[in-house]
Amino acid sequence: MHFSCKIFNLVNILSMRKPYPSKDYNILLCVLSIKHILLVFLLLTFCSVSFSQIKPNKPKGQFFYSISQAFSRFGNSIVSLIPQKSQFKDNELYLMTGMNLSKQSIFSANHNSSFIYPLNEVQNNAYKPGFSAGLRIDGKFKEIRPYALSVSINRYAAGSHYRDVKSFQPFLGDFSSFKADSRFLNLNVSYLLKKNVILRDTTKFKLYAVAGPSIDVRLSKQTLQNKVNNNYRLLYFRPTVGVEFDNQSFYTIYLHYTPGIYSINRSDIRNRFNTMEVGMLLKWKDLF
Amino acid sequence: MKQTKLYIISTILILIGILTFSSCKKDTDSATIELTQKMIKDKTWFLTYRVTNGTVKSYLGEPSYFINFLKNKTTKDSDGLEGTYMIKKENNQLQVAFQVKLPNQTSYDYQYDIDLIGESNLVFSYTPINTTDRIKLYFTLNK
Repeated sequence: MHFSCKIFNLVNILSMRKPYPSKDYNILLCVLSIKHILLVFLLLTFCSVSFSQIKPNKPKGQFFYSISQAFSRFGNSIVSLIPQKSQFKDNELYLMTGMNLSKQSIFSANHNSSFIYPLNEVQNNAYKPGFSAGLRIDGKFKEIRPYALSVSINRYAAGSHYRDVKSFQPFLGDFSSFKADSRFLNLNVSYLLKKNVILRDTTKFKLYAVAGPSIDVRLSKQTLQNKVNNNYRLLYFRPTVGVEFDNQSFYTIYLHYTPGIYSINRSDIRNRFNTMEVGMLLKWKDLF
Repeated sequence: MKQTKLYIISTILILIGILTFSSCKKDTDSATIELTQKMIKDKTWFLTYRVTNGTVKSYLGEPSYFINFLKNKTTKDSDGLEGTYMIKKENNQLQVAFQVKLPNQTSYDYQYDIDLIGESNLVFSYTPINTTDRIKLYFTLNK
């Protein structure tokens, strides 16, 4: 198989589409979307920015040292994106990874479509697990208020709870004209304000209550069932609340809840997308 | 260093911009036809109800009309009509158009509106020539 096809198949597997047949290179070029090209471009940007700053006179055998240094410099360049003269001080970069549980709460009885889906086939009233990974900058706003700005890639697998249904007896039983997608790949950007909750001696650990807005950009494509009416929004806002446990800056464990206040669907479908996320933050400096 | 910052910021802005605009392509009509084709093909649909002006005639549990839609866009029904079918969308209405031959080899074209379609349910409607009565045909996969 051609190398470019192997890469494309890998991208497809990650975004859960069918692998592309290796024969048709012309169609490959058509299907290879601008998003994938940009991902490669970003990777190349990272490499060029990070590796260009490493001095070339390193002795041989220090390949892994160079890699580590590249990551370290990448971390520094991310933190330095925040201007030094701004009110955001003491910025520290963290690597964040976590597991999320998601569910869609759907009101779709007003949705008109020629397509019908029996309720017993689409109803799945459960939180389903996904995962996320990203970067977060923690610092202090005006030197007193702790804040966090995170950018992460979230893979959601969401259950679907249909709150209202249609029925057309005796011809058809309970059905819905909308079939919710069950998997999403989103880019999430959150800005959180942190409030230290003092329970015990804060030299042992710190507990924060956090809250703030977040934006989700859907990277994955809609299924054919939702493409017919272009049902899902590309971008949506949700608030995030939660608690964070900071163990003497060795690591931080967080628990976030992101309720769906606005519908993630268009027009006549109200779909509230609720997410709970548990994860861990590690300092970039400690890792690289 | 300034140049590096500018490079990263501009890359992120380009990414956000293209992500926002690249997903706005509207190909909903072709998706509708593709989904309909996917749901209808490779199945034999049995008539279970026929509704004419509110009068319901049930065919449940008794031999009735059936129609077979094959993968290669050909069709065959219990009346002996054989030919091709095509899914289309006109004036926001999904339709299936038939080009068939009667058992005596006479060509015959007709079409139904698709009111509802699912993996195991199908509702056609049509108005016969010289009448104003709307007839609805309910099909399922089971006899």
